[in-house]
Amino acid sequence: MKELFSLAGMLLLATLVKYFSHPSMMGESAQPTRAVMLIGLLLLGGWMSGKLAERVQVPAITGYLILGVIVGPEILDLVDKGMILRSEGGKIPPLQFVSDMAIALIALTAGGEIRIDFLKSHFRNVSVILLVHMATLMVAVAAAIWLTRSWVPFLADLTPESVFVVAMLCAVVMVAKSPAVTIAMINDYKAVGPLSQTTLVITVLKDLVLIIMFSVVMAVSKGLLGNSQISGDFMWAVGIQLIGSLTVGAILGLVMGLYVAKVRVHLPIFLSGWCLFVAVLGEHHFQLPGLEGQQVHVEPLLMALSSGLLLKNLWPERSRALFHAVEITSLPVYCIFFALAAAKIDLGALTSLWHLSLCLAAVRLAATWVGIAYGVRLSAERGSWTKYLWLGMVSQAGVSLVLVTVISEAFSHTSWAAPVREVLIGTIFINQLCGPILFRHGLLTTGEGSTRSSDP
Amino acid sequence: MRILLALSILLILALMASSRKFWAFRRRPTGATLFSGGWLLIGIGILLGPHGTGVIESSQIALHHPLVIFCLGWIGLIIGFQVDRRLPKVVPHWILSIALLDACLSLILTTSIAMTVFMWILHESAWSVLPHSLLLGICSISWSPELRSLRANPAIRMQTGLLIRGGAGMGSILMVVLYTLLINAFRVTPGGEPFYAISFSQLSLGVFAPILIAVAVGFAGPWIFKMTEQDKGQFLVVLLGMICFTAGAATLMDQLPLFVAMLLGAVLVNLPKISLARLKRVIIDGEQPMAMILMLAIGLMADPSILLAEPKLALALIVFLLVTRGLLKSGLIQQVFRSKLDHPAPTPSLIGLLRPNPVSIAIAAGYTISTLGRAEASPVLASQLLMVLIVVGFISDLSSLILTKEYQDIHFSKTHGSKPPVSKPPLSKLPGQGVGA
Repeated sequence: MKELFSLAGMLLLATLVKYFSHPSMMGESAQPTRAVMLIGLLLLGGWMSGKLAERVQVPAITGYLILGVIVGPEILDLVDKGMILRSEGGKIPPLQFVSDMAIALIALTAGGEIRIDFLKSHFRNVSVILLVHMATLMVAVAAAIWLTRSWVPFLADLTPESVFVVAMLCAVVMVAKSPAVTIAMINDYKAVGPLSQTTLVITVLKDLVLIIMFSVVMAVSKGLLGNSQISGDFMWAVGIQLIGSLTVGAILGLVMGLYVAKVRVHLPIFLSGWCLFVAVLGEHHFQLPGLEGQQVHVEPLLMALSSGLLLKNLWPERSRALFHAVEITSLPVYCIFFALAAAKIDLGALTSLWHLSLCLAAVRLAATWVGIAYGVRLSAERGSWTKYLWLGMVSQAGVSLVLVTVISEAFSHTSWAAPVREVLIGTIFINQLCGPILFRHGLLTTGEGSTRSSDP
Repeated sequence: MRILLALSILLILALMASSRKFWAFRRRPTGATLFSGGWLLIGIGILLGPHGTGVIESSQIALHHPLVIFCLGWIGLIIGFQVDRRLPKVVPHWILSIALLDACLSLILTTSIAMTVFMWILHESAWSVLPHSLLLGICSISWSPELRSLRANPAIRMQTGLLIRGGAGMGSILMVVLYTLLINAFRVTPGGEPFYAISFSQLSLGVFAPILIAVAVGFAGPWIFKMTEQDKGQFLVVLLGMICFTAGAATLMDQLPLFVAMLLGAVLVNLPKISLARLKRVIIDGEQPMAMILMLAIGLMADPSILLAEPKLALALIVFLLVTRGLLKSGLIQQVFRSKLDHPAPTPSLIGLLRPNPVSIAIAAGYTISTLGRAEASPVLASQLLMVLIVVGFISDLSSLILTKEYQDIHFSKTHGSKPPVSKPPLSKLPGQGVGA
């Protein structure tokens, strides 16, 4: 109960401060200044709600997410839309940088968790599971939308091409899963074993495939609806983006390794600065010669992933201190990142089209279970843990929300963009809440993870 | 792309500056003056900022404000730890008396002189320049807690060191409290003009609300720290959360983050049944990098060209502030100090009193981002005051370095007939050599 009272007191205090804020602090120009108290609130509040969640046998992440919804624009409005969502002019909100930094740190952890030897020995099996899972999921979601189009109000009057585009886009978004949740859960429950390692590798590879797939589906969709044509330059740009991200990440990894070897002081501060650098670099778009009209940018997630992978596998000893610092700084990052991800959720959307979101979430869940089970059967992976592998594939968060935003902005001129966005956001919200609970069940049942209370 | 470049440069410099490789240079008198005073980092900040090479543009300066607020919160917590109820038993009462005497004299003398200069050069009324004069007065209080000038004479280090440290610590507390009263006594009209207006509601909001926040967060502190179960990650969440929340809340209510964080530190340190050893260790470990980051950020905000906009005013202020500081600290306060010491302290050991307390620069930075400091119709700009304080601080620190060297040379040649050897102090860091202590 103490946690609950403290959390309530904290929220009351923050509300009072907001009410008594100086008028000059309420403008857009004071947004960066306002961010400081909000970060404090998300840190302390997130941590307390994580503790509360653990008390009721729910992952701490679910607690962070619930706090995010409470402090978000829909309920207490302590974290207002201007702080987390991009304005029409494309101005980056102050807390977006914090989210981007968190993504970089999470991806760095993910890269550090992947062992090249494991990847080599399991690559065939993992690829089979991944491909079957993705294909099943995409086909199931697309088929469900296609078959039910006459009953869905905003799809009923659309042309077959438009319904096809909607089905394809929704299928891609449903394939996306949250690497952040996977990493956070594995760290939080100190999970070690084939379930956590395979889930992590599939999640990371899935993210790589998803970036290519999303770019292709977007290009095809735009082509089908007459917006633009798929050009060779476009495909080059996607390729350069991927390879560029991995290469820049490797260089940044080398710089980090050099720092650890030569300077080695204040590692948490260095890490924060490094993550900010990656986040800022990810926001920049570059115009490459020879690719007229195609801007490329480097993905923070891929950059940090490649840095972590390189550091851990190339210099396991040298990077030990660095990854220890990553471990220490992870909890503050999770508290802020997941609360912000939940604050971005539009609850209004969930209430208006919740039945469609629920159906889509159910289809996704069933397809995930079938796809993973079939993929495991086709691969050579055996063991009791394989039964629980699908539980780690449910969660969705930041990446999925980004994809939805990109889709709704790219097709904002169509009649279906807004309702599709609402349905997808509702589905992501459901998966966001259920995913960690299911994965926790998998980790604890297989004995790979342990709760804090069971620690020696 | 510029921000990326700036970030890289800042990060590398800030970390290099706090690495062990630079310890040796920093322990030398010149290195210590440049680093411990933060002047080198302020200089780099100016160089990178919009008024230097322009790597960081003026539109991006606001993005650094959260960093300044956070650093101020961190330093405020360190100052607050000095408000310990057990302190009177350790520190003699007369140190508090000297700190109070210095505060009163510095405040009255510097405020009067600054006000006279403003009225003389700007032809403004006394009321319209009162807040700026008071700010300069507050910033002239106290001295740096560094003990560099005692290196040559370890015999008197113990008592004189306690005196310098204790007096500087108390001075820091007084400065923060006085500044809080100042920004609550003055408001800004919708036209952007500062005016003196004090009311009960304003005072209660300005002073009691920060106290309420600090007390609420502080009282929950022992229980919250206990809940972290000695886990490093959880400890970090609580520490960062507390600093961000209190410092951020203070800024939203147009208060100085130093004040609220100081109150939080004071509450925490005075609560029974709380072990602060770990908290103090982490906070003091982080003091140097925080001070470095703050100084860099201050450098980015500083505009040297603003001094040339009103050269007569800038010159008069700098000269008069330096003379007042010199007369007061190296004259009167030094004499009072000397009369209280058990052992006769040679002159160089007390020259350090000339160095300004780094909290004064932190206060000036806080003022620059406050509503009062941003008042458009103000006769004196916050950036002017910041630059004046930087220049005065730098010259004072430099004078202290030169005078210490001179006295040491004279003293040594009288007794030994040659130059003194370069002292090799231990590498262990003295706590509180940065901004906060």
